[in-house]
Amino acid sequence: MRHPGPNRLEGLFWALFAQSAVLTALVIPAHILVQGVLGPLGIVPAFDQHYSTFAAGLGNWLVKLYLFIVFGATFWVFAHRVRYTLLEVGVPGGKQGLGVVTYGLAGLATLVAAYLLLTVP
Amino acid sequence: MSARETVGRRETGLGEDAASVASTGGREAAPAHPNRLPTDWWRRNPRYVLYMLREFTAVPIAIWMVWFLIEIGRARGGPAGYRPHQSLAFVIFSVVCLVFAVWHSFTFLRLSGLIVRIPLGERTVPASAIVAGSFGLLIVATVVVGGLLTLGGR
Amino acid sequence: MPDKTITLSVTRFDPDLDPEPRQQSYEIPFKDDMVVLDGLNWIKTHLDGSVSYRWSCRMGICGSCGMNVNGTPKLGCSAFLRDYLPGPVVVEPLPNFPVVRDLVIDMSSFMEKLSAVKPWIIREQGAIGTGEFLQTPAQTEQYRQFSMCINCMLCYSACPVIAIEPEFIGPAAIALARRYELDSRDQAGDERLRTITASDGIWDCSFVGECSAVCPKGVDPARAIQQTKFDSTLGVLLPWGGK
Repeated sequence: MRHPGPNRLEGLFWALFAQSAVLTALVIPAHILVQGVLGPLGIVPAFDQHYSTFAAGLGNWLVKLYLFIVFGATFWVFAHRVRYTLLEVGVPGGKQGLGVVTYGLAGLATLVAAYLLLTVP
Repeated sequence: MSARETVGRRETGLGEDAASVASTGGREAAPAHPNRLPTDWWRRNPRYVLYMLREFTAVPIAIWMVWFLIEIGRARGGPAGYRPHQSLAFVIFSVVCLVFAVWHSFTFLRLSGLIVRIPLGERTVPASAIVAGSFGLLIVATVVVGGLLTLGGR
Repeated sequence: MPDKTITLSVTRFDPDLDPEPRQQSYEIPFKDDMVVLDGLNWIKTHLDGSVSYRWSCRMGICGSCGMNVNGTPKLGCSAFLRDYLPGPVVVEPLPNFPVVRDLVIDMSSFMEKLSAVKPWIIREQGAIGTGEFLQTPAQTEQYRQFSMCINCMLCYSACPVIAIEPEFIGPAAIALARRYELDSRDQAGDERLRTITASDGIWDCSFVGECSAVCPKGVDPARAIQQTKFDSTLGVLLPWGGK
């Protein structure tokens, strides 16, 4: 019969995904545009083009916090979408199994981001 | 179980008599064919393909952000070891990722009107208002974040 | 002048005789105002009385004649043959439901899922005989769209999640639950929500949106599902949220 609900864990996963997807939707284009295109082409002075400006930016705790959140959001959206997509094209592992792998990977990547942000410059 | 119930309750169609319906009513196992969508279901119509494209946007975005993380990793080595991403290959890669990122923004913010429900007394804020607000927020965020990234580079 | 004809390729499956469903072609006379259901009825009357399929109202309100037409779930009574010229028109049973015979599918899973959301007004105490439960037009408008479902099951056939996870409670059931959640007369509280926020409830949905695309009555179950996700998680952050 029907499993009794509510499944708060899946609810949390989705809520994190929805918030993360909104955040990445709002800020990622700017990062890629400036840091990935305009900066390297020399059209605008992107802060990561020189060590001095990059280190100055990364030394700011607000910047560290902001970037940590954006990295976490990116990896969470990746994990959530990959989990469901792999399930839907018939990749074995089951919803829970794929969840452990994808969310685990996202957690790991976010920890790496946290470590790098905390230890820079 | 279910096939027996269904067959037992099945209406007698044109050309069938009650006896032929009843004669199949005692079957235990369901010989019904499973009939599931195949795993290449997503190629069957353009809407399914667009859905897959929308979900796929998470991949290039994540890969680009990993590249950003690599840059941050390089900065830990001090000024001597730091090399920003500057090659033409990186720019082309970024353009491709940007297309996917913008597609993610466009599709997700457009859907936000369907997801978010803000009650206003007996009514709710119309979806079009939520979508317009979301796109407005995208423009503001791009200007603010882009502006800070360039101001920080002076 | 020769009469125009069109070919229908119909799935045939007799569980006693056939190891697998197969397609059988029938050439029928074509008229501009014919729908797929007209074609099937013509076949059954003139060519092959053994073809089995469900139908009733032939006007898009009973939800009986759901079938796959050229790969898309449609109501047989609403799919005009002229839109599929020159043919052949491939008519198959609705995917994601076991096939009992020809175009007839086993819908018992669907019936179970609908009943599981308790699709009736639930009041806190016995209220029979206490008079009318008044509702303004604006309050009715809140849920009216989700009340238009005719239980045709096209949404379940369009949903790829049901194919992978048959226990997923599905679009129509969640839209129906939402119809009652948004009804100002309902006082179910968490009772219904517990069923649809379970593991095989709304969290199985990844917003493909094909359910809403194929719905013949404009119910938009995809919206019902996403709104339920929002209301049961982030919506609690809105202080004035809820019914």
